[in-house]
Amino acid sequence: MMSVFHGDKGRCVDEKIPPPVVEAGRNGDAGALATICENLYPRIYRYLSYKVDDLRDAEDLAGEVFVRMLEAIPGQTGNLEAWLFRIAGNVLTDHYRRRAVRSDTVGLPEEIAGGEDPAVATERKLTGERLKQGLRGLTEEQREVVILRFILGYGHGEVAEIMGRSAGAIRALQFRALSALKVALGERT
Amino acid sequence: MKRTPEDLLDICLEMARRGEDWRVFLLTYPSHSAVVESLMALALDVEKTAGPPDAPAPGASAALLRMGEELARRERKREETAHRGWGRMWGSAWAKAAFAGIVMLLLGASSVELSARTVPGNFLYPVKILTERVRFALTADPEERVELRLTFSERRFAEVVKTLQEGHGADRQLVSAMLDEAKAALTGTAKLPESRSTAYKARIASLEGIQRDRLRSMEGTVPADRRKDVVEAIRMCDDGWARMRETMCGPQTRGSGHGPGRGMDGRRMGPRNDWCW
Repeated sequence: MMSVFHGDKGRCVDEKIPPPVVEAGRNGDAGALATICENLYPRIYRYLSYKVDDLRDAEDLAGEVFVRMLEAIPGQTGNLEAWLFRIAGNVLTDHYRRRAVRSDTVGLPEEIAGGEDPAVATERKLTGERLKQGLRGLTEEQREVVILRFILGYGHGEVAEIMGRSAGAIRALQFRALSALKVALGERT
Repeated sequence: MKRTPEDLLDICLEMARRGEDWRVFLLTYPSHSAVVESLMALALDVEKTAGPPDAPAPGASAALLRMGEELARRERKREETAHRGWGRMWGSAWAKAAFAGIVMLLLGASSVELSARTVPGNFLYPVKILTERVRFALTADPEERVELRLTFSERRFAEVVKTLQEGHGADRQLVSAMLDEAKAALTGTAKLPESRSTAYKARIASLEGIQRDRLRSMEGTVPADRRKDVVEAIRMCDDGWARMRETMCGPQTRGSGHGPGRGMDGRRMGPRNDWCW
């Protein structure tokens, strides 16, 4: 099987937004802030779209991430992208709180929890919706690592920075996460 | 060397990322190859299903507008501190309606002069910039996108002029933004048919001379103490255009490197082919 990893996978975050732009953004330059938003919005949105049920919520929450960014960016240091994902995590926490739904207790969708015939499930093509449903069968950390590592394509170093874990821990977590996803999708291990 | 399945999975993922054959590597670890290979297949399937992470996402324009609104609110708050009287008005429904109206006006505005009234320091300036981005994002036609980039470049230059007239000095960021927009317009011409592309390239090339003429004409009209700012703005524009030529054409630019209009020595330049494009 040919690799389908995207061309920019594992790239250094700083390559995406040039440091002078980040610096101008910290100083409140509207053009720089717009550039940051334009470049990073798709990833933040995609991240959130796998975390919430309603895609309209994902849009709202992604917008909220960038509004919160304005508040905190003057004092921001270090990796901007990892920092934005941490804001996204906080926005999500507030969203869950508002909805009184704890993300780590989301039940398995009926289709998967109901014990679909693994052979049938394996043959079915993996679709975005099925992937999303499969992710619900994972713990919060496992879901996080799958989204960041395989859906958004970050290297394990970047994922470690975003999640505040060591690279070794991420390696172990991604193994467990993929194994759990395989089970959640009804595939034989 | 003894490796765990977790290590092997990670090594294989990195190899796949580099386009290397991870399956051959895995053959050397037969006790773990089955489980790692099945997880690799799933990882690759997830990647394929998710698609490119940077593909356009819905709601980007709305996010930009929200940022613009928030920036305007902050800027307004800052102004309130200085001018208390305005504060009460901003929180009202009237003010919110006015904000929406201004955004609509800016979205539809095509006049460079109208937009030039809003310059850095004005509370509406961030709204203008973010509204421009939204307008650009909503434009699909390649020619319209080039036209917009040129409009934005012209706006930034108009803002440079306005800030000089108001005695705020030569704004390096504005000059840089003006050149960035011109460069983006030039890049966008690659998607146009030959005839349209040529016309836009000529227009972009003419900007340098037009700008220098405009700034030179200001030298005689501004008060003596501001003249040095105009000279500084001319220098910044000259440097910026020269850097842009070097980026786009390389160091061996044909001719003197100045676009049509007047070169740095003031002489009238030839047609657009003075530039490499």
